[in-house]
Amino acid sequence: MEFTIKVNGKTYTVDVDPHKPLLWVLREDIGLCGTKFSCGIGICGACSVLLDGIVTRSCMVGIESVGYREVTTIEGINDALGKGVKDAWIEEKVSQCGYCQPGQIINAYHLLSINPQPTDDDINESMRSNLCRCGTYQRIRSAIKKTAAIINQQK
Amino acid sequence: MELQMTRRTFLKTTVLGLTGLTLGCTIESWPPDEKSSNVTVWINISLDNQIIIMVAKAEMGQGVSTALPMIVAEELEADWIKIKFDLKGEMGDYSIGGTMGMTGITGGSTSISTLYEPLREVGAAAKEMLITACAQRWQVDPESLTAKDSYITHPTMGSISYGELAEEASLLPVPENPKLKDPSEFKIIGKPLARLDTPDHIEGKSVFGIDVKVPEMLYAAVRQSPVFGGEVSNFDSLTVEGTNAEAIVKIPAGVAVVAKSYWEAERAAQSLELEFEIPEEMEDLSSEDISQQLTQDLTKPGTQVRLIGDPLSAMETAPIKVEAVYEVPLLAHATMEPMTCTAKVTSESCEVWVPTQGARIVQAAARSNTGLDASSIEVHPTYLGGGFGRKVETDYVTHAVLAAKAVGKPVKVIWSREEDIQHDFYRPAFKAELKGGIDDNNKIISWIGKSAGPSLLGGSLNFMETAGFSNISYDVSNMSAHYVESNFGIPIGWWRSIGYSQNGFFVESFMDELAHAAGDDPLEFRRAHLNGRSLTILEEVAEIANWGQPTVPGAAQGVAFVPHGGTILAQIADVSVESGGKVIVHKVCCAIDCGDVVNPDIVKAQIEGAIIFGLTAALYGEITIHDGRAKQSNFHDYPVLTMKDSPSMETEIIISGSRRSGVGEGGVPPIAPAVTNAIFAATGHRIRRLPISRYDFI
Repeated sequence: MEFTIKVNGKTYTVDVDPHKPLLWVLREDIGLCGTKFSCGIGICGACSVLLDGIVTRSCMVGIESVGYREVTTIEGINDALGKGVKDAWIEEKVSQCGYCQPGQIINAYHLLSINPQPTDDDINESMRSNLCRCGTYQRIRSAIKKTAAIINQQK
Repeated sequence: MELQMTRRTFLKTTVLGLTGLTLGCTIESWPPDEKSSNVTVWINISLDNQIIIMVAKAEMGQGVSTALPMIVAEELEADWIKIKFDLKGEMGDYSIGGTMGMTGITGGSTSISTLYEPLREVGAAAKEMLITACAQRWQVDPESLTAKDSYITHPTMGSISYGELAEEASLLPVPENPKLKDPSEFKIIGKPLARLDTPDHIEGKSVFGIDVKVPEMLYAAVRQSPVFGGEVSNFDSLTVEGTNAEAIVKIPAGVAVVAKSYWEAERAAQSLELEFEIPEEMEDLSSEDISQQLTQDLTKPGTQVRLIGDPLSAMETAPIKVEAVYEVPLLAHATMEPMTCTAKVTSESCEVWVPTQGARIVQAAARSNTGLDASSIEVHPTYLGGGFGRKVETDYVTHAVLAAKAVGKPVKVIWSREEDIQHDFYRPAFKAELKGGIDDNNKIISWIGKSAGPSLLGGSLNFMETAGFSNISYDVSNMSAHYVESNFGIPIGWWRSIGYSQNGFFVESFMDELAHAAGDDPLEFRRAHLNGRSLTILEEVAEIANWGQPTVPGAAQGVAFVPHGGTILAQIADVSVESGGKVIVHKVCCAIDCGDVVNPDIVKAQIEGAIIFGLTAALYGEITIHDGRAKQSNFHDYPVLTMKDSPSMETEIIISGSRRSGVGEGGVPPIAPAVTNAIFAATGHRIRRLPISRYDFI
């Protein structure tokens, strides 16, 4: 079946099974590989994308249910907040193997977009389903706080 | 094992048309090995002054793609901001000699310690050649020239870029003994520089194994016998009919299902009704059987792996005697990137794109599955989405090569998480019995240890599983250690820190029990049995952790000291046990002496990561066997520590001037005993069997 979806501001038409998860449409049919596969059951967060600004596990969303909602992947996190988050990731030297980091950044971006001054508990709650086997959590937390501090300064 | 290697470094240049200067070196191992006489790590300086440093080691998060170029760039006097790197498989033209080089594996925390000197020489030689080329061009004394930030400057002639000199430099003989910088002049080595790979990672641009794209590529999902050792028995009756799959290919212990998309392949694989022939001895095998077998094996004499003095006689005279038995379970690696490999096979050639810790063994696997010569097989290494020892194996490479060969098109194999957890090469289950005798001065006068578990290499090659058990660092004048080799038919492999991962828990738990039996403070008791670098590290960790004063009211502290190879580490964990039995690890401090450091931030990151990795295992890690198969299948029942439950961490690096040693693994072994020793301090409950989640403390 043909589906037309909007990803990072661009429109794509794909001809796939209606149940095919958004994750695999992004990776195989659209060619955006920044969104990662890891658990396939929506509990590790590596496949996180934004659907109309809301964090979603793309391995659990069939292409047919995406509809007109706007998909934002790691490749599309480029606005001022997105750049701020990515800069903080570099400054805090967060990534090790890097595999889970696109998903971590999507979740951090989402958190800061709805809650620019998160507490430690807010951060724990938002990031609790994003697993990192390299153990970069302490630095992810620092990077989120750093971004929040910069947002605060700019106000 | 401490293999004594002497190395010589040979440098040579290659001129590749007008691409500038390419310089490499050969590290020759002793005894000489013909295979290691190739050029290895290269620098390429292009005419536009772009410097690319080739990294012939696997980048799995441990930071070699930054640290190795830092070493070269330091001696080369290169402009660090403009340095780029290229990942090369450690094979063929990029073979490296030395301890790990013999197998071409990135592992054992050896990349920096084996490549530090050769890479300095490469950088220094290239700089000397560029200076000589410049001196000849300008007809000036080389001594009057200064190299800095990828330019060479003369007081009156001005400046010229390395790129402009690269071609002339490449025609010059390579200096045999290039002059190395004095470490006091270092501008790059020793600095906490940002990693070169981060920008691509955070943009989603890095190509991991799972991201490889090859024209006309198909995808495959695999299904392997859930019972270890099983084989598909109904392969001939399997059909793609009614699915969107294109082919079903026989692979060892299972099938690969090939389709136009991974999701279609996985869906078709799920619909197959596979039958397996299962080895009789595996049918009913359970974790309880394994545990009982280990207990049984501990009654056997085993092989003596250490003897100092006369521990049996000394034990008889000891006024205080302590005995304990410890046990650890099977553990999976659970890399975030599941096993994946892409292969293209024709009658004349084979190409493999793969996240691997050993390109040379990938080549060997491709060779045995295609019958092609090594020269016809090309391996393209990618970033690894985690390695931890799992990607030393080549089972997933075999799957891709067999599938690609069968369908005549490139195939990317991706394992589901369930296949990954249930078909790992696990950290083996182990049991150990320790006996100790203490005299009236609180000194250990006898230490008798015996461990039982499977061996990675087997037979007399038991050094992997006895490391850190046969060679404890405490000053004990009477000591023996024995090892009994067990076998259960479960695949076992190399798991970050290998034997130390269990032996650190055994030895440091027992040291704690001895300290308490002696009525001594656990830190003071250890202090009395250590000296030199080891004592310095113990004292340092005590200071940064404020030993005796936990950060949180009601918390207790536990200490563990576990050297790993030449690296000395100690950790202190601040832990609370809540009334409901939940264990909270508030803070972990680590002191480390790993010799001279190339990038202190990467060292700290490795320690932080190792603490989380080891803490995940200590708290929850357990693969249980039921009816010959792994019971766990995904992160819901093989959990990974989350941010919420992660401790804050502080690492202090002590530079003692000792020889460089590894940092990728050493942070793992101390954390389990540091936490269980803290739990004892908090509750009086001694944990002798991991994981901690087995206990409710009520």
